[in-house]
Formats: sequence, structure tokens, C-alpha cells
Amino acid sequence: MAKGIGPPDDIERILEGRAPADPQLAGLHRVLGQIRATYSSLPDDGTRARHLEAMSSAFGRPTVQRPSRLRRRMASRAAAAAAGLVLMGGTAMAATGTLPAPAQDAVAKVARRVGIPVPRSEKAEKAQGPKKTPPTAEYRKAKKLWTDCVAQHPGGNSDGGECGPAPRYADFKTPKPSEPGKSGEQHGQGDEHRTTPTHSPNDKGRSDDVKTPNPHAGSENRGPGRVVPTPPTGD
Amino acid sequence: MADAIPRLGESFESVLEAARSGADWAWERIYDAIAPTLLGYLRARGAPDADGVSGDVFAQLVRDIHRFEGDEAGFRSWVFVMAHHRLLDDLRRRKRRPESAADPETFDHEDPRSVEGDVVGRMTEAELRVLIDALTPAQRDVILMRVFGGLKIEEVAAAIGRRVGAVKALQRRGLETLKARIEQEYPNDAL
Repeated sequence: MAKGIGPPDDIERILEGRAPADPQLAGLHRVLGQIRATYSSLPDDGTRARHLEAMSSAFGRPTVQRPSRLRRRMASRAAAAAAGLVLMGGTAMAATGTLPAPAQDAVAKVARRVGIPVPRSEKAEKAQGPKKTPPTAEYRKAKKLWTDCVAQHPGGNSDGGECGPAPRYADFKTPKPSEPGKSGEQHGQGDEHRTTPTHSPNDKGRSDDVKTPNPHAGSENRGPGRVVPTPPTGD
Repeated sequence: MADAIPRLGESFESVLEAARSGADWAWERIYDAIAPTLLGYLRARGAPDADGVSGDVFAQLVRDIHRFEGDEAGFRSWVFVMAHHRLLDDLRRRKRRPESAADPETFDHEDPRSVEGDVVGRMTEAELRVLIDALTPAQRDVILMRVFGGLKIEEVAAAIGRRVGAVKALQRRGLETLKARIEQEYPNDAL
């Protein structure tokens, strides 16, 4: 029956390759030494060279790891910045109309979304039709006055009612340079409803026939139906 | 008393620093210091392709060198832990094949001679293989990692994922088995 293994210190010695103090462990010490010596050796030259070459190739290429959240965020920001630069470059060219029509339209579409005015291609402009003239400030004000007036009459308001007919946008369009003051013909709500000439840059909106509906007034609000804000000193 | 495990010794720090910088000479120094015992461990442990597994270990060592911090003993331990896991992965891939000890004839190494002297004659590789195979796989892991890698009990425990007490028990039983087999096989040897 085999005897128990020796003291721990001797065990450590033989495992480290050092001779034990206890002679009972000498055989074990030698066998372990032979195991180490028998199996330990440098590989042949070919294997060694192959290993060293693989190590040289592996240098500088750490094990792939998932990028940190910070890296992903920076990468997305970099991509957005790059896209912005491309857009700026394309926008610069598009602003001068030097891009081909499809590219021009594409850049214009994207640029408008971020508030950059870029003209579309001529083809697209023609397909869209005439530009809409933005409503004048007078129209908006007149419209608001009318809606306020209507609000004061819960029973509703109809044309010719307390507040008169709703102002029409066409009545407030800026006249074309070739047609000054022609706007009166654009109105067609009846002769009794004399309209205010289309507002011109120099026109201060004075008209004896046009009265601003006064939501707080009575029949005085009955007016020609065309509401034009009057200047403070207006009639 | 000759050190059974080759070491870089005082030059370890400078060699490691140079290796981190990519100096080929430093990597050769590291390779030559570790490869013999690393291959020894893999062969004794029964790796069918010790050269292949060791090559993978060294490549991983290079890739992950920036993560290492410690002294030479810690470095060696780190390498052998890598080797242990690589070996297990390799053995799992070969699971369909019966786990057999490496054929001694496949060892392409110089003819070693026992450094232990003549009291016990040089044992053949086949005889050593019989002794090693008398151990359980866990006992082999513990004893061979300590014999070839110089790992401490705690480092072996971390490598194989067992408690220190369990590793000590494995070591004790493994050495008892070896001693018993030696006494049985070589009863006339002077011990």
C-alpha cells in the first residue's frame, strides 16, 4: 500500500523541479523531472519560424471587441458631419444651379428641410406651376379682425352680416409691376362692395369706401365687405 | 540548483516592454523562453496537435499583450491559462475521436536525456505516457500545469475553474497515484 505523500513543502519542491528533503519522494521527483525533460523542447526550425511569422502578423491587431458606446456615438457624429459636408458642397453647387436637374432637385429637397433655400431645377419649377405669393400682412390682419368679429357673434355670420364677408386673399395680392392698381378689377362681390385697390408698397390703404369692421360696434360694421385695416388715423 | 523552468529573469521587464513596441527580437526571446515548456505541457496533456495549439496561443499572446500586467511568473501563468483553454477547445472539436495520448513518434524534438542522473534509468516516452494516463484528466491538468508552467495552486484553480481546496485534493491524489505506480512498476529502484 502506497504511503501518503510527504510534507507540503516537499511537494512544492518536487513540483518546482527541486529535490525533496524526504527521500521517499525522490522517485516521484525524478519521474516528474523526466516528464518535464521528455516532453519539453523547442519545436523544429520550420515550426518555430511559422509561429514567429504568425506572431509578427498578429501584432497590432488586438482581439476584436465590441466598440464602446462612446465610440459608436462618435462614429455616428462623424458620419453626420461627413454627410453635412457633402450636403454643404452639393448645396453650394446647387445654389448656383450648376448641378444636373435630378441632383439639383435632390439637393434642393434636402436643403429646404434644414432651412437652406436652394432653387430647384428649371424643369421642376415648370412642373410645379406659378409660385404662390405669400399672403400679405394686411390680409392676415384683416382676416384676423374678421374672425374676431365672427367670434363675437355666436350665432354665426354670413356675408353681409355684422362682420361682412370674409376677406379674400386675392384682394391683397401685391400688384405686378405692369399692372399697378389693377386689383380693383379682381374683386367681384358686387358693385355695392367696392373693393380696396390691391395694396401697393406705397399704398397706405386709405379708402373712403372701406371700413374696418369693428367687432364692438353695431351697424357701423356693416360695410362693403372688404376689410382693410385702416391706419391709426384712417377713416 | 538548475531551474527546471527557463526564465527571462531580470531581463523580463525590458523584453516585455520591447515586445509591446513590436520588437521582433523581444518576441523571439519570449517565444524561446516559453515554447519548450508550453509544448511540453500540451504534449504531456495529450494534445493531438501541440504545435498547432501552441501557435494559436502565441498569436493570441501577441494580440492581447497590451492587457497583461505583472511579473514573469504572472506572465507565464497567463500563457498557460490560455494554453489550457485552447487545448480544451481543440479537444472538444475532436470529440468524436477517442482522446488518445499523443503518439511519441510524432514528437519532433531533440532526443532528451534525463537530467536526474542514473539512479532511475531514462524512461521511455511510452512508459511516461502510461504513468500520465493513470491520472484523471483533472489530475493531469493540475500536476502538468504546475510541472511545466510553474503555476501556483491558486493560479491553477483559477485556470480550471475550481476551488483551491479542490485543486489541492486533485494534486494530492494525482501524486499519490503516480507514486504508487512508480513503486509498482519500478520496485527495485532506489528511492
